[in-house]
Amino acid sequence: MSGRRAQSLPAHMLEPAKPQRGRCVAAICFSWKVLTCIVSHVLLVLLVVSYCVGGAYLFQHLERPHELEVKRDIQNLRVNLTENIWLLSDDAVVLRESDWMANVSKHLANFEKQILTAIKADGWDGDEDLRKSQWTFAGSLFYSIIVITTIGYGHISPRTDWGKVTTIFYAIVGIPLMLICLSNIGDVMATSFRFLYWRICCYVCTRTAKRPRNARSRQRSMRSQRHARSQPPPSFRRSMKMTQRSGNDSGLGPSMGHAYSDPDLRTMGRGYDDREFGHRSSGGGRNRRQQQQQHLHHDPRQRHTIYGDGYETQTLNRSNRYSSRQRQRDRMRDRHTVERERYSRSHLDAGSIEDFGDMQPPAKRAASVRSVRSPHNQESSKASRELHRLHSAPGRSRAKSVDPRHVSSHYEDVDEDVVRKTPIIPNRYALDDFGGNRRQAAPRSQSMPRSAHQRQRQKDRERERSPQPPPQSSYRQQHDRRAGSLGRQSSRYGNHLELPDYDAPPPGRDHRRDRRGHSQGRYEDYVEESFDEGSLYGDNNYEDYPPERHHSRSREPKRNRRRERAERLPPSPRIMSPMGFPVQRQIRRRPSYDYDDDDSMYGDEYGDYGDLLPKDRPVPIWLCVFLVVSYILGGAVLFAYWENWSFLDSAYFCFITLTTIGFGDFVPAKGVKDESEQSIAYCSLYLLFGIALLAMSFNLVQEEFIANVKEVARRLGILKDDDDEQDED
Amino acid sequence: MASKFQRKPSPGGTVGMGGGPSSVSSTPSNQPRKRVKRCCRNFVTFMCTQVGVGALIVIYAICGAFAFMHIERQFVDETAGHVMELRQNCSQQLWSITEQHNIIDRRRWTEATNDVLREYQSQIAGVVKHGYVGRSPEQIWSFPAALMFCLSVITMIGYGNMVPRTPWGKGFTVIYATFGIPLYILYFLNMGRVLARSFKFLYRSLHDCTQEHPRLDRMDALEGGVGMTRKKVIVPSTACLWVIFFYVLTGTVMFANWEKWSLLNSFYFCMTSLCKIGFGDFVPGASLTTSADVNAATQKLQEDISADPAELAQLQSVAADQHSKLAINFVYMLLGMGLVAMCRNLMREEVRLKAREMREDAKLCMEDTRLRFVGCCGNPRDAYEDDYY
Repeated sequence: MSGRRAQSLPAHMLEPAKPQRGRCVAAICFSWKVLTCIVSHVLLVLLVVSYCVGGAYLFQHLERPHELEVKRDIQNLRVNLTENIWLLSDDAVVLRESDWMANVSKHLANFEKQILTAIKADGWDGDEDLRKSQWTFAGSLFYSIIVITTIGYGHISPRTDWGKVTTIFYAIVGIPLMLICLSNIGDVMATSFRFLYWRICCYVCTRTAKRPRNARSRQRSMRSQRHARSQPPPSFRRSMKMTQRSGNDSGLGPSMGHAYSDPDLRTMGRGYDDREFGHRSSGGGRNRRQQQQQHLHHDPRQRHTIYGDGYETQTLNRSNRYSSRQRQRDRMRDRHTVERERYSRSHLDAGSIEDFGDMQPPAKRAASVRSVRSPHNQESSKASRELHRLHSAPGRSRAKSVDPRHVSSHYEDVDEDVVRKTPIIPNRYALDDFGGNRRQAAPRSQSMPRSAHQRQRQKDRERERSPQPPPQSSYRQQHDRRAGSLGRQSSRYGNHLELPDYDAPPPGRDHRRDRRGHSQGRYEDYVEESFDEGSLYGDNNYEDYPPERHHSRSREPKRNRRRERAERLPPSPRIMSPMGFPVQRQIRRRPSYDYDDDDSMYGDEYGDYGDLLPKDRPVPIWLCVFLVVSYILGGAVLFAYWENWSFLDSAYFCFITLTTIGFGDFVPAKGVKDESEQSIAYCSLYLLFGIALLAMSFNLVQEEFIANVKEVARRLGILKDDDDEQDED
Repeated sequence: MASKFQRKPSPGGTVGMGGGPSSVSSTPSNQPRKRVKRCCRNFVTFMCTQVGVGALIVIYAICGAFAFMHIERQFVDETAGHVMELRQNCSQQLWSITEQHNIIDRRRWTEATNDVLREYQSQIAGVVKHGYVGRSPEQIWSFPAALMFCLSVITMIGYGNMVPRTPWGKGFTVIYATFGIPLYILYFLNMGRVLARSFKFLYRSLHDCTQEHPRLDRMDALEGGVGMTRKKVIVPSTACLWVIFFYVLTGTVMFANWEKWSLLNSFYFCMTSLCKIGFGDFVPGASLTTSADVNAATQKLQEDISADPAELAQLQSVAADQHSKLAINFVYMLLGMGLVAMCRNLMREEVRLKAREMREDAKLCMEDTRLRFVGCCGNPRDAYEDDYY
């Protein structure tokens, strides 16, 4: 008890200094987010709107005189026809009805063709009134919209040469602008829709599961009362909670002790001892004490990374995604707790591998595919899942370090991390019976480079401590610079290569700084970096040679990748080319975060309510399709009411419009003349929202669809992993 | 992206597992067989993806053309009879006006005739707006025209010069587009990727020929320099724009010769088609304003009876020309879409690179600002740093 209190005191001492700094920096982050939102979304929409309005004025100016001229030509045609008929009557000596009517019919047929040509080729609207025109401001605006959205009804189109040239350049500039705007809005709408969907889904899950949770909540309330009695500081209370949780885990049975004596955990524990409590290390530490040291040690690194990395620039999309995911994660923590209690109870009842399989089956696959699979595939998929989880662990920490969080969320984050790490243990216990896992674990514990790396880190730390501290001002400057360098190691590392023209700083200081940042970065991204190097080397090889030789060279990257992992040398200049290095690292970071979030979401969801919602997924395809179909049918009803078309014609019009085919046989301004401006406005709004809705649906559906198609292709035997890798390259 | 990450670590793990001596001994014996197997698989993949998708689009368009011909030719066009009736009524009214008024009184006759003709004109205009083209459905929906219609549906161009009139035709158009547009998008992405790789390879070859350094010097330059690597990888956007411009220019000259449009109108047609706007005022082959049709109509008006055999021969030659022209137009459109996709891929790479550079510059700027800000009011930070270090 006294030992625990003494160990938790440093965290408690750090407590009062944090809120002042956090509040100040949080204000900066918030203002940056608001500024990014304004620049990216509102400004882009305003740009598109102003582009349309400018185009409307331009086309009105160009095309209206031509239209008036066409109207006058039609009048002249009619006058000519009258003159011809008069001459016909005047020249004849005797007027016979049959002959006269035959000639008049001929002239009328010719006149009819001229009218047809005037409508089709010259764009006459069928009205001679000079005050009415197609190219009003509303008509021109509608024309601008149908150009930049590539619908192109064709009911009005430019007839003058300057109008055509202007349309060409207007389209070349406007269509990419519209695509950028639509993809931006579609992304925002997709994020919002996913957030709403998961909120509704979690509400339904929580509501249906309210009854079986009563017994557990009673136990929790008793436990919380016990905690409230002692009234320690909040950090100490949280550490006590973690200790009790770990006690529960270790008390599950004698077989769980084997999990903690795993060489991986032992190595990690030794690393923590060397790093944090070197002067306090003892020869044979017990399991409980090691685990507690892990949890306590977890605080300073996260704290440091949060302050170092949290203030980098970020877009609003990313922050929105983070905030929504964090909320989901908070909601899932309760579910994790419920699952752990349920797991412990089921384990006490019947401890066998079959229960482990039932507890966490892969929820990402479809139900039909799951039923078809054989036990052998289950074993291999379980092993691969273990590999994925092991490899994604540093990716998780990296993705987490990028996210700016407040002080309160920091402790929640630690708690969540503990919650997330616990379910890994039964899988490892299950995999211990297999030979593959044991063969896999042995080389890692015997790996020389890791111990060499730790020894090198000890030397670095001793070298840091041995020199005397410099004077106050330079001491502060060095600290600021060091913190900054640690925060942006990746970008500075890349920039150092990309910008060789800068004047080099003093070589000694630069060398020391690079080494320190690199070593610490390497420790955090240990597995990640080896993958980066391997893929970097492969990428450069593929780029250097023509694509015909891809197949003959396909073995060389693997060999080089293996050698890189074995040696773990600093990368050579060829691999460190600036083209490949930042690309791979930035691409690698994002999918790891997505994979992590999806994995926790799936596993938690399915494990908790496997019987209730077996087919639940982030956003199903049928929901997007239903949304689009309902939008089209709703638009059909509205246009049938506004324009007096039949329902089938309205549905046909809505479909043709939203797919940007745009035949132009049904156009809202063509039928009713009196309310043409209102019709144009309604159609424009429907059009823009509809296209944004389609963009949102594409964003939500395409990832799922591509994954499904690839899985089906692999099952049919068309694709293999090698082909996928080459295709990705 | 998530699926890409899921698949990436597993071969690494497999390679790690396979690091034992057994795979080293078995590698040279299995390598030729695996190589042959991989070549066969890649060949089958290529045939199934690129050639298969292209053939699938062509077959889909041809089947759609036959289906639309079958559906739309059943449409009974009542507007032609309506126009004839209008014409007879107008003639009758004019005759009654002529009988009623004397030939001497020209002013009143002119006013009455003007009123009748204005009414006739507005009626004809209304009929034309509702879809009257002046030809029968069998003349409208010929096979080349139907094929061009199917192409405009699949590629989302939508000329609108000819549209389905029957309810079955409209419903079938919706279903046809629902399945055709994803197929076209698949073709678009595949063809874009293949053409982008080919063009990149071609550009790199030309670039290597342009630079006359030996290979060793190039390797040294590649290791030492940065610009060399960047130039090799990214094709500049000016090259993409030049390719598009030459393609459009070729199409302009071709259509100007065949359809007897002006150069500006041909260029306008090519640009609106490749941008998928498709107004429909200029459409090759099936257009009302084709000069051949206009000439034929003019000759028919001038020479009533004696020109029938020559007229028939001309119509046959025009029909034969239209078939070949539309086939070439079809290929032109599909290849044009592929080129647009290629340029989109290549320019997207360059835009992505520049955006990344801009982001890194902004990040450096923000970092510098943050350091200065923290330097101004760094009192709480000192306590933290002391504890940490």
